[in-house]
Amino acid sequence: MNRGPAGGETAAAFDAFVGHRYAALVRFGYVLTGNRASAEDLVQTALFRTYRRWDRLDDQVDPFAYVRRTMVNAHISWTRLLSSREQLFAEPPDRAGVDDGHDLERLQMWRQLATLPARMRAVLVLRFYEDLSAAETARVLGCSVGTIKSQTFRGLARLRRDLAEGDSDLIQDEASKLRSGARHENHR
Amino acid sequence: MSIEKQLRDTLRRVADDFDPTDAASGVRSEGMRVLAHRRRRQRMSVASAGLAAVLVAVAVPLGVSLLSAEPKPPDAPVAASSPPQTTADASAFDGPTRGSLAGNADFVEAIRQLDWLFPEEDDLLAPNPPVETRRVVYVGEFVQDDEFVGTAALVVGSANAEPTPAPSGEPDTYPRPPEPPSEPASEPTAESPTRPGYPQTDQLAAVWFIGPAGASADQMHPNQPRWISPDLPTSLFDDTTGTLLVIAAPGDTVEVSPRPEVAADGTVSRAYAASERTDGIAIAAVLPVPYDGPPSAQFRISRAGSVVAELAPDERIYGAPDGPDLELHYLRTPDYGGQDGLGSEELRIAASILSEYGLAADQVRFDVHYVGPLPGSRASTYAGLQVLTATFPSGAVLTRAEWIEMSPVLEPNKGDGYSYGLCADELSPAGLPAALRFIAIRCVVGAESEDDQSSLIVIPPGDGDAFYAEVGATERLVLYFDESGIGILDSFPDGAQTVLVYSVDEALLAEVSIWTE
Repeated sequence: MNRGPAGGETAAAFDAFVGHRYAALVRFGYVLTGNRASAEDLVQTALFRTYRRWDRLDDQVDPFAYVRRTMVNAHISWTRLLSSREQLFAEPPDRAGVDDGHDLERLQMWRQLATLPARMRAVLVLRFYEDLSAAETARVLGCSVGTIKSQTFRGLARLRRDLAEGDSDLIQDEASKLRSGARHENHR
Repeated sequence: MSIEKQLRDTLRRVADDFDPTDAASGVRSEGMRVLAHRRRRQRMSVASAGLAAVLVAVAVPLGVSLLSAEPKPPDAPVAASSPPQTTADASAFDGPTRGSLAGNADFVEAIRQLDWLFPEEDDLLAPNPPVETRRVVYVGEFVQDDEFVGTAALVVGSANAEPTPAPSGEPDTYPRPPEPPSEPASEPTAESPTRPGYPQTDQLAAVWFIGPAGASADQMHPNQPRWISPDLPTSLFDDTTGTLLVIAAPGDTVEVSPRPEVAADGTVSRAYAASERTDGIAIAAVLPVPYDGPPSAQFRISRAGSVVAELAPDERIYGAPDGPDLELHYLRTPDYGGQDGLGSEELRIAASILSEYGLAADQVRFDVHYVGPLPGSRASTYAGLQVLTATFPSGAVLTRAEWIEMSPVLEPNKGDGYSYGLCADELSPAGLPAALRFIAIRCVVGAESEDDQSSLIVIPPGDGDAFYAEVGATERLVLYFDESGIGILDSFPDGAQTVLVYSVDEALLAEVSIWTE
């Protein structure tokens, strides 16, 4: 078992890691949970556990993968799909940049992600945000590759279906807004 | 744009647009020390509220006493200081709310009112009893070492729903409501958790709510609701800290076993030690689960002088597997058939074995005898087999073989799904090193239908003289070992129980019993 530096050296190593990776961890937590408060709570919980186990970690320079794994499993074990708490899955932050024509699609996708079970969403985030392979994702979640592939397939299928169903609603909403705008324009 | 690209694009844009604040001091090392100190102070304030009995169960080196206890016979006398024994019909779920937070009436009522399910849940078949039938059996804080594990609450309720099948194909499924036995149940054995007979009862359902330390009611999240027997205890296990919380009837004796012991002759036994309890609530320190797999701990309940149940933990707070990397000894070059990611299946099997038996990675030697293709069922596009042996500290050897199959899902053009199962799981005595043993397995691949594929696989030692084998009860069949040294018959001979393995000059090398699940 590796024994790392104790006391002040541990604190320095831990702080260096936090300073380097905190932003990435919170972004990951945000994509995973859908809201800032939960993301920050999750990061704090995971960092607390990491800090307590620092001397036993294999990687005492950049244990990003360990912290990420702790976040994912803590999130899954303590949450279920809570659709009545849609407010917890916040709207994505406003973009300052130019709309490239896909903002509506992204908004729809983000909203649909909120409806997925926590474990399924975690699989998709690990595979398509962190770009982990199926095997790497299986290691994070502690399950078989078969489970990961099954969850990936079903998650994507569900998004595909939900987006197709939501398209018609969205088009009607947007058309309605356009008609309202046109009427206002005509009354100037 | 494909759905995968759309998803990746969405996640990346959302993350890029999110502005994380700079790391607050609360997450740097000084903040971590303050947090640890605050939690220790919280624990002491809980103790001063009159719950010393509960904390003593943790503060006393229970883990040490458990691990060093001598095996006790099932009818070991209860300590003189224990409360009176309960009657045989006592229930763990009646009576006032128990636990360190039971005195907070508002909190208890808020827990009782919490929803068990939400409309968008996939698992609409799970029990969801009316609020008026619900009661909070337990609410309290998990404490282990210097760290709060979390807040836990057990809520039960009554429902009249018919037994419903668990959703198929999902890793997380609900168990059926317990069926009453058709004949008197047998006595529990040392190794198999048993559920003795119980009378036909109303349908009782339960759910655990889990939350962080100091959680408010709306921070308590439900685990899976499930049907339970009112006559048996229930439990919650935290993988990370190895804390076991048992909810038994007041007066029940609770004994805990951290892990099974595998003797050199291949037999398995357990040593149990009594756990301190208050009002039937026991919190015990057992072994954490550093790998993906079931916990090795079991507990035993005695009531009115008899053992009434011997059970594994039935609800878990999953942790992040953080055990050291496992070392596997490959006796042959694995063949993954070009399937992405199958290389982790052997690791998963090895990790599961370590978890089940409560052993560390350096206590077990894993030999991988075969990883390669296997005849699949009719709809299969690929099927593979993994065969491992685990040599325990006593020298006994566990042989475990699992299959994995890829086949199209029911809807066309939707891609493939995976299924997997067990072919063999056998303990044999110490003796010949595992790497030098012959293995013969019957493996049935498929979904238990007429399309299943039943094969015989014979695996000689890696370096050996095995050339061919004979098998068959009524008709002798011969199989030759291929260049990997494995022999596979894609149609299992009915009635076959042994295989005779010969060298090229027809000398008998071994007579091997065929294992099957």
